[in-house]
Amino acid sequence: MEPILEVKKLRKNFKGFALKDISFTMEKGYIMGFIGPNGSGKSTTIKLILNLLRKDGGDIKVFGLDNVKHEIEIKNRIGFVFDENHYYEELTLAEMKKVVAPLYKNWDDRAFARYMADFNLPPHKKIKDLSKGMKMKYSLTVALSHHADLLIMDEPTSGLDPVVRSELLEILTDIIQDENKGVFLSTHITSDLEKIADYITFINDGQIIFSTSKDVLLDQHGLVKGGKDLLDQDIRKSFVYLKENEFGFEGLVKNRQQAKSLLAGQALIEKPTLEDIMLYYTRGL
Amino acid sequence: MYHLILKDILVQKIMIMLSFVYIVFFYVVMQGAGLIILPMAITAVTYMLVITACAYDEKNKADVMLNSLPLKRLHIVLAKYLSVFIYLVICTVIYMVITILISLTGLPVKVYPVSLAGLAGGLFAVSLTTGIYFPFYFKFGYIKSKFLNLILFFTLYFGLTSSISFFYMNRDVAWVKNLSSFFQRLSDIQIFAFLVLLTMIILTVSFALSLKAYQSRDL
Amino acid sequence: MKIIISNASNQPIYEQIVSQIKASILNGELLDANPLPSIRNLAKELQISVITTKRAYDELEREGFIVTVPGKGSYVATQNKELLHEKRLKIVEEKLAEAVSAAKFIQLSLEQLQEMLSLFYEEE
Repeated sequence: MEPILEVKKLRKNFKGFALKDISFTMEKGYIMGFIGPNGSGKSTTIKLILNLLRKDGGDIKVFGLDNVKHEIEIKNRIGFVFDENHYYEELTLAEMKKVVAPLYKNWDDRAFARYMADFNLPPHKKIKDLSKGMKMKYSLTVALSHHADLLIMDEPTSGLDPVVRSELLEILTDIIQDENKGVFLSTHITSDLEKIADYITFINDGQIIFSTSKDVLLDQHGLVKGGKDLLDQDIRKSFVYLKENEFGFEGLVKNRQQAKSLLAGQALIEKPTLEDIMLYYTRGL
Repeated sequence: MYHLILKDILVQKIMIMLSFVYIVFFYVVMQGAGLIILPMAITAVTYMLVITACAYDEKNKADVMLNSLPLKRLHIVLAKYLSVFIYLVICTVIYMVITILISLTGLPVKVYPVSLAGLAGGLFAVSLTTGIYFPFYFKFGYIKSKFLNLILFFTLYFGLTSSISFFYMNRDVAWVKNLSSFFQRLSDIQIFAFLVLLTMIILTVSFALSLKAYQSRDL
Repeated sequence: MKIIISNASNQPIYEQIVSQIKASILNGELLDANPLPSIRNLAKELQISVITTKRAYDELEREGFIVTVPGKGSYVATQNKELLHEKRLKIVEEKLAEAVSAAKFIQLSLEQLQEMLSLFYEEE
């Protein structure tokens, strides 16, 4: 199947930070979570995909097309939602729509009206008078009203309450009912992805640490807790990162099965959360 | 592109209404300046609207949003240049309305109707200032161009008034004489055409610089 | 059909789905050729990832419980009657084996266990 998003050896140099030849691929029909600590390069990658930044090397293909050469065609099929709103705060929702709608080839006024009603958005209120959750829903409304095939979201859930966050997640699973669509979403709140994400791409300090299916990630890794007497040279090596305290240790291993066979009955071996995985990898690098 | 200009007008609705007040203010305060009122008023207010539109873009981090839409950077730059002419038309219309209102009400204010030479002067001054401002704005953004913006505004003002007095005081110096007699021999239309040509050259060069700067900029 | 996912369980989510759908088929709640929800719809309803439900359906298909017709959806496989009976029998055997080992653990005699069994059997 043709990937909906393909990033190959993408490089971008800034003063004091660089994106180092990152690569990953996303198939259509799925939700990919893009995780990593603040300042790891998530927004930079997204800006490069949208051609807001000029790359220093590598290739980006969206819908199989070069993202610079076919920029307009691609952007007609992309919906974006950013952490900060980025729409004009001084305009009302209806005014903003008047500006944006004619730019899209596939704009659907009826879909817009439907989403506005579904999300309870007041068309004649100014954007600055909306709550953070409503601003996000408005961005989502614009993204859905031109029937975007790929939704790119940069930290859409930060600063939102749990209710709105779970609403967003429901909408996302709704979108991929159409197997030709895809959602690429960056976040540092990994619990949002714990349930619905199909793939996880983890970036740290400008490098991709892994890009794989979430189930594989959670099934293979293991969180091991036990007394310090268990730790010998070989066992230490199997940890991604190990935290020790006076009473024992806690660490992440890449191979839960192996840890089980080595330490069964002696240590507690649990299924990690995405957050555990992200934290231990970040500290272990 | 037309929608980008519409956006600039929608965000500064209040500013445009205030323009009416500003132009009345110019009309009354600058009475002594005579025919210069028209170009001065429309230049100042148009320039102000241009800057305000840029300030709103900055405040809303619009560069990121606009460039995520299916829009070419060329169109974003072009829209800003075209908006200058829209503002100029708006200001001229406001000026005309004020002139008519003053004559109708018989207020003790001397009226100076819109003249071709005055318009050409305004067009030239606006193009010169925005023509210098835009390439910096598109290269460095609003914040970093703010200082330049102030310099431009004051140079325009003091430059215009002092060059008028300079020419007036040196009216007997040979080259000034030649220059003024050259211009006096020209008709209004010819002056208009000359200024329009100069304006076109400035704007073309400025546009090329702005586009080049914006297209290679990281947002 | 009822599917309940536990996030606290140590059992992977796809396995939870597999065992619950299997149970629905074996206890006759889902009959031959009954349609199953689509992979994407099930993922949406349970708010889990598409890959997880896909993996569950793949597993069920591999074990012969369901068939997937491309472009149409998934259905309960027409079971070989004998095979089905055998599978159901196997469940009984497994549970009984569990009961036996539990009984042995507390040193229950075979007679006592049989007595208990007949009591339960008649009660139902």
